[in-house]
Amino acid sequence: VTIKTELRDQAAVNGACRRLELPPPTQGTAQLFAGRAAGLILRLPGRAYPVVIDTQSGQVRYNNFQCAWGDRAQLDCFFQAYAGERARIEARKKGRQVTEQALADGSIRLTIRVGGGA
Amino acid sequence: MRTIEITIDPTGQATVQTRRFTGPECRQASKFIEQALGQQIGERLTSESLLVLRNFHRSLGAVDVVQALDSAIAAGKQARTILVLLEPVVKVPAELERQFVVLEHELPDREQLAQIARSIATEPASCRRVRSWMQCSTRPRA
Repeated sequence: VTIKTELRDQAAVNGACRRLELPPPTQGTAQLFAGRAAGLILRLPGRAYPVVIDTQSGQVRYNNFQCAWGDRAQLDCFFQAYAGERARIEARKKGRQVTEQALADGSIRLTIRVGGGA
Repeated sequence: MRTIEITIDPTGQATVQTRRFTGPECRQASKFIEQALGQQIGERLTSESLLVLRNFHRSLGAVDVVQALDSAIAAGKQARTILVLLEPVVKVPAELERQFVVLEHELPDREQLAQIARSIATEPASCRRVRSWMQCSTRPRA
């Protein structure tokens, strides 16, 4: 199953920040280039405007202007870290053991041991 | 060991795969992760296949067969297809030696053969023949 990651969990957002050594997000309203947005405010290094995460809808708001205001790869990297943290949190809630492996293509693979079977 | 594998690419898109699950339980097993991560945008059902090649040792002398087998093993690692060669003699070409694990089994003895025969003999005549064969095999030879 292929999944488009949605940022809906604050604990996983905090975990992703810790993983990427970013300052923790703050709750509030931020000024973007086009208007204001409320939610979890995330400041990524080198970005002219913050990224605002609406954990209710799972969507993010940011201004990029053809990458002139910040590298899109940074945000992608954040999504990847978030997905890893969210999967870990959910696996732990079920009492499952998780191992993580970095792949050569830049992906990360988490393996959750469910038990049983051959 | 049954596992759920989550591969997250550098853009944050996740692919969830289950291993060693059978039937509909594979979908159920990973549901909690899929729902937690976000919106499902695609699904492809996968399966593990076991391809058993009986008495294949006779074909392993040909270069093209060895090469085809080598390619099939490489492709099988992606498609989760496992090749099993059933042979009366161990005859794995040098090119493939590292790709296979050799398991040697003893041939069945008379008692094991009799058990198999008894398990498949249903007609009275067949059962009599099995009993008669067993008596012959256990009688001391002159």
